[in-house]
Amino acid sequence: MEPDEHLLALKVMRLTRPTLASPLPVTCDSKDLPGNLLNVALQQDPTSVQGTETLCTGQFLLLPQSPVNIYLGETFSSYICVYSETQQIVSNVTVKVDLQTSSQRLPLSMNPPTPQLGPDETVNIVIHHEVKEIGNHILVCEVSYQNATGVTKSFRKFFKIQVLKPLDVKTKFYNAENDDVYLEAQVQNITSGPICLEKVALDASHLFKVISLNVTHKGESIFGKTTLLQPQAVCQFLYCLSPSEKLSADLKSLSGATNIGKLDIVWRSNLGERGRLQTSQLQRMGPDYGDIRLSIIELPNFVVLEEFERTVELMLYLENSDGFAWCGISGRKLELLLPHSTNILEFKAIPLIPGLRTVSGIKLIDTFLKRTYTYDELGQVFVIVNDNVEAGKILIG
Amino acid sequence: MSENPTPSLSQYFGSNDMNDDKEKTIDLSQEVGDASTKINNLKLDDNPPSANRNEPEVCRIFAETPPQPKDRTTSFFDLIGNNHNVGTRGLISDLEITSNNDDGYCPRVALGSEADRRRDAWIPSEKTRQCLIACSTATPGTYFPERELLTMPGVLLEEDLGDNIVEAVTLCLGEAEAAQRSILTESDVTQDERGLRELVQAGSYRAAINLTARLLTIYGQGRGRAGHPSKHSPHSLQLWFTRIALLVKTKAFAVAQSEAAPFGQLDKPDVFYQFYPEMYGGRPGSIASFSFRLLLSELPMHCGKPKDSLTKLYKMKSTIKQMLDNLKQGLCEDGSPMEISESDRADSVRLWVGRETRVMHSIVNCALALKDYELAMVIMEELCHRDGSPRHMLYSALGRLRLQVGDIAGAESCFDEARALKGNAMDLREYVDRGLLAVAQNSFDEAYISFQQASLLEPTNIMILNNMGVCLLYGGHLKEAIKVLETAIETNPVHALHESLLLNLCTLYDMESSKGRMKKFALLRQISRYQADAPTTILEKLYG
Repeated sequence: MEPDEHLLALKVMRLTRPTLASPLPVTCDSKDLPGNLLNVALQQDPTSVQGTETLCTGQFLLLPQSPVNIYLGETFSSYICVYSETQQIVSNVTVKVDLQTSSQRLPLSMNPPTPQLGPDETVNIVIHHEVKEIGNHILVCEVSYQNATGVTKSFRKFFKIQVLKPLDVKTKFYNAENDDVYLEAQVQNITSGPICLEKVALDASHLFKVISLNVTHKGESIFGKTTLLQPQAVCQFLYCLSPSEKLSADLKSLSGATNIGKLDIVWRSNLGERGRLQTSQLQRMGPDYGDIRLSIIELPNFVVLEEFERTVELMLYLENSDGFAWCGISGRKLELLLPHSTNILEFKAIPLIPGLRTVSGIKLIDTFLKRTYTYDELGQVFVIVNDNVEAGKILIG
Repeated sequence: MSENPTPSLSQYFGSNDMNDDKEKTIDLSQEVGDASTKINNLKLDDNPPSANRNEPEVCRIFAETPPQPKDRTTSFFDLIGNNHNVGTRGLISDLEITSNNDDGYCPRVALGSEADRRRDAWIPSEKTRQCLIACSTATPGTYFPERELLTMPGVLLEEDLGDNIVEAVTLCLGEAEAAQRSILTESDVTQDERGLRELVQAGSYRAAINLTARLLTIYGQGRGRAGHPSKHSPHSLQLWFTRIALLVKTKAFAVAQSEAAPFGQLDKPDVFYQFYPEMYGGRPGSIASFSFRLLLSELPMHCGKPKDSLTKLYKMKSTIKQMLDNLKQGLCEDGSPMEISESDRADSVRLWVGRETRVMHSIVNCALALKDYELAMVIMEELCHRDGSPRHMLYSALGRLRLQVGDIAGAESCFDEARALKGNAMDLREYVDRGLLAVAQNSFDEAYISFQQASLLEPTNIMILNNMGVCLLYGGHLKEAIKVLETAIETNPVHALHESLLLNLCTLYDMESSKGRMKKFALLRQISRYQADAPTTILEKLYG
C-alpha cells in the first residue's frame, strides 16, 4: 500500500543493543611537526575517553547502523513509530503489532487507541519478544484511524525477520561401571560474532543428582574469568550424574532411566544482548544388564606393565582384547551359580601396551541353554610403564 | 588545562618535561600569547614574511563559538619535550627548525644532544646495521648503497583534495549557500610548516594534506616522484608523517596505505642518521620519529588487515624491550657502549617505558579490530599492572571491554575495582560506567538516570548528552531523544557535529517523519558553518 495514500505513516526500527564508538587514535610527540595538535584533536573528540584516549574501549553509545542477525532465544525488540503526514487532526489511532511465525500468530502489542493525533505528533511503541522458533517470521503492523470526516481507514506493513540458530549442542553419555552417568556437552558458537557464555547448567531429572565438573574445588570456572567463544569455537562441559539411591537399588528402573535432564544455556553478545536456550530432554542409551549382570567390584586405576605368573581359579571364555592378555584357562566350568546368589571370581590379566585400556572379552556360556553372555567394556585401566613390580588384580563379581 | 589534576595520557609516557611546574602557573591567555610568539619564532629563513604575520586566525570558521580552551593539553601527551631550553607550553611546540639549513634541520654539534639521542634511538635490523656501518666507515663519496636499500616515496594522490562539504552543500542547498562557506585553505597560509600547523589546528585536514604535497615537492618527493631516489631529512620525514597521519584522520586509508608503502617499516638505512655521515657527523638514530613508526605499524589495521598490524606492533614492542634491556645493562638504547649519566638513563627508561605502553595500547586496539577480545583483555590486564599506570582508568576501560563482549559479571567486578582504587565520591567516570552497565542489562531507564546524574557534573558533555538521547529512544521517547541530541549541537556545534552523534541523529530523524530530509539538510548547513572537514560517509548520509 502506498504510504502517501494515507494520512499516517509508520516506521520500524529494530532495537538491537547500541555499540560503543571510539575515535581513531592518531597521536604524536610534541617534537613532531604537528606539535600536540593531533593529540588535542583526539582529546576533544567526543568519543574519546578522558585518561585513556589512545584505547578504543569507548563509552559513546552508537545506535545500530547495520542489520544484525537475530538468533533463537534472543529477544526481538523494535521501535514502532506512527507519525502524521497531514495538517489535519486524525482520531482513534490504533496500532496492532503481531508476529507471524511458521506455526502461529503472536500478538505483541495492542495499545489503547490514541484519541487524537495532531500534525507532528507520533505514536510510539516499543515491543520485546523472545523468539522461540527458527526460520522466517513476519512482523505485521496494522494501523487504523479515522480521518477528519470520520471515515475509518487502515493499512498494514510487513517486515520479514529471519531467525537463525545460535548454538550447536552435541552430547555424549558414558555409563560408568558404578552406575554413574557422565554427560559430555559440546557447545559450539554458530553465530557470526563472539559470544560470552553466561550460564551453562544441567537441570537434571529428579532421578539423578548432578555434579558439574566445570569448576575447580574453589568454585572457579575452569574456563577462566570469561567463557568467551569465538565464532565456530566449541566449549566442552562435563557433568557427573549419580542415580538416586532408590533408583540404583532397582536394576530394571535404572536401566530404564534414560531421561537425564536439560541443558540450560544463557549467552550474551554485543553490549549484553542476551539469549537463552534450553535443550530438549537429553536421552541416554539405558544400559542393558540382561538376565545376569556382571559388574566390577574392584578395579585398580593404575596397573604396571609387568609380566607376572598367575593361575585363574575359574573359567569361562576369555578372549584377549586390545592390549590385554588374560592370564588363565579359557573354557573352564564355573561352580554352580544358585538363584539370587553371587559368585565372586578373580581374574588376572597381563597388560601388554601402555595407555588407557578397556577390559573386555569375558564370555559366559550357559551350558544348558547354550546361551552366550558377552561382557565387553567392563571398565578401563590406565596402563603405565614402571620399574616397580606390582600386580594388578581384577576382581569381578 | 595543565592544572587539571585528572590523569592524562602524559602519565603513560613518563613525561619528563621539566617545564611542568612553571607551566602550571601560567594562565591561558598568557599561554596563547606565548604560543603565537613561538609561532612567530618558527619562521623559516626562506619565507621571511611569515615572521611578520600575527597570530594565526585559527578560529576563522569558529568565529561564533566561544573560544575553546585551546590548550587544555599543554603537557598532555607531551612525552618528549625534554629539551630544557625550549618552552613546549605553546599550542604549537617549537620544532627547532629555525636554522637556515636547507632542510630545516638544525645540525647539532657532534652527536646531538642527549634528548635527541634518547628520542631518536632505534635498533635497525641486522642488514641495515651492516649497511650503516659501511656508510660511516667508507671514505666520503665512495659508498653507494643498492637501490633496494633506498626509501623512494612520492605523492600518489593525482589531484588536490577538494572541499567535500562545499560539494555536498552545493548539491543540496544550492550555490548561494555554498558561497557563504569560508574555510582556511592551503592558499591562505604560509607555504611552510607553520602554515601546515595552522591548517591542522583549524581542522582543515584536506587542505593540510594538499599543502604537504606542495612542500614535499621541494624534496623531490612530490607527485610522480615515487620510485625516484631522494634524500631524507627530519623535516621531509615529518612532512610525510603529517601527511599520512592526516590521510588516516580523514579516513583516506587506501591512499595512506599506498603512499606509505615505500617506507616499509622505516628500516631502510637511508632513514637513519648514520647514512649521512657528512651531514650529521657520527650521530646515531632514526630520522623518522617514533610516532611515524607507530602510525605505519597501525596502518594495515585501518585497511582491513589487522593481523599485519599485530605483527608489526609486536615487532616494535620487542625492539623497545631490547632497548630497555640495553639501558638496564648499562649500554645505550641501541646497544652501543656509550657513557650516559644516571639521570639521563632514568629519563630514557621513562621515555621508552612510556612508548612501550603506547604500543601496547595500539595492540589492544588491534586486537579489538580482530575481535580477539581475549588478547585485548590480557594486554589490558598487563597494562593495569604496569608501574605508574592510571589504574582506575584502565580498570574502567577493561570493564567496558568486558561489557562489549557481554561479560556483565566481569565488567561489574572491574568497575568495582576501579571504584576501590579511586576511593572518592562518585565521579563522572563512575556514573557513565554505571549507565553503560545498565544498558548491557537492558535497563535503559536506569541507564538514563545514571547519565543524567553525570550530566549534572558536566552539563555540556557531548558524550553524556548523546548517551541520554540513546537511552530515551530505547525507552520509547523518540522526540525527547532528538531534542537532547539537538541541544548538544546547539550548545557546542564545533565538537558536537561529530560523525557518531550525526549518525545517531540521522537514525532518529529517519524514524520520526518524512521530514527527516529537511532536518538533515539543516545539519549539513550547520556543518558547513562550523566544520572545516567532515568524513565523506557522514555527508552522504545527510544528503543520500
